[in-house]
Amino acid sequence: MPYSTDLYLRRAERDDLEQVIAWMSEPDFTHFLYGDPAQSPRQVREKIISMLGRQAGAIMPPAIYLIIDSPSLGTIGMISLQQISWRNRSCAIDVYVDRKHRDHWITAAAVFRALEYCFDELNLHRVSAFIYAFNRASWRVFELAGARRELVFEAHVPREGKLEDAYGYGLLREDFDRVRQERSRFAEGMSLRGMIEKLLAEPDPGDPAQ
Amino acid sequence: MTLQVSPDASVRAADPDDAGRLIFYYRSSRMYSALLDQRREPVMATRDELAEMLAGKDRLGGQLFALMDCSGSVIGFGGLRGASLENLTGEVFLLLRDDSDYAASSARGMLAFLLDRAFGRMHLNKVLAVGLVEEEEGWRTLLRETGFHSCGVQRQIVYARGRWFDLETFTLKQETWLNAVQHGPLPAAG
Repeated sequence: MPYSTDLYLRRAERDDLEQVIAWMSEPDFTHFLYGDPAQSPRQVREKIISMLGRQAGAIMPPAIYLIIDSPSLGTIGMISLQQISWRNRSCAIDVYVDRKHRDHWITAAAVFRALEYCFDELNLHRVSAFIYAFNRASWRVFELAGARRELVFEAHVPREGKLEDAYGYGLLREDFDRVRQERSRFAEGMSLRGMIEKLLAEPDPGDPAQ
Repeated sequence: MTLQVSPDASVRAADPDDAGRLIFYYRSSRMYSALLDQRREPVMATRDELAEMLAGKDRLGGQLFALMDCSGSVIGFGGLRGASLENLTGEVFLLLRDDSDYAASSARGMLAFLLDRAFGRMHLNKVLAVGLVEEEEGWRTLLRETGFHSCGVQRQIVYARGRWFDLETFTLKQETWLNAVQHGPLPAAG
């Protein structure tokens, strides 16, 4: 029986504030996303709060915060599109999924939805992501979406007393379209969940352990 | 106060009177990665804005310098920006009129001066630099010759002049720089 997901994205609003602040209090939030002491938690919080409820359709916002929601699962996580350049038609994406929903298929489905939004709704040309090397699940999802690892920063980010590598990913609209076309062929007669699980099970050519 | 950085060039802190010289680069038909903002958009500044920026207290954190030839004429600008407390990094940039100018000893001297500040005074762990592929071959060559290591190229990240530009990012670690200064062949600033 085909699996269907009720996952959808919507703009973050003031009612989401409590949930967003709760996520921001999670150690994972700063570990994976915003661990820069140059930006205090207060600054990050104020930036996000100021964006909540802003009329995205009325102006050309520099950032858009989206909530990953589901009628069956509830509020799942947050996606932020930052440094949006309407001239270069580009943005940087960050994804945060609540720990209790953090399995591969939900994250992958959310990222695919967000990328569709970037390319099909905002008409962007390029989406960038800066991902720490230890966050393998995240960068694998981006690779599955067609993103290329364009930058490698060795010993770049301090985490728990150690300098970790970080990667810069770039996804062009043509990369994403190509993957969508290829995957739609593979996905005929298959469920979305099955497709994503199959993709995640594929060996990672860059992983020496495989 | 000026500081000799090569036999034929010296640097000094940029001041508001440099706005008229700095705007040349903003109005040039050449593309300079140094003039891209955080979103990698080319900035279209006015002379007044530049004068205000140069008169400001922070003056890019006090890190914008004018490069002068023997006669005292300004032949370029350079500086450090975007220092991050998280990983002790900053980005170095150099603005010279022509791409071939980056091969001159004055350019090497200026870059050495900036790196000396970044690693010696600011104690950064790493310095980043970016260069537009195809447009800034001279600058990218200078970076490589100075010991910078390429981290990769971001594809089609800048749109200007009716087309896309790729941007290459470089890094230089403090230990690489200090080792090079001690053992050559890099020139030490001052």
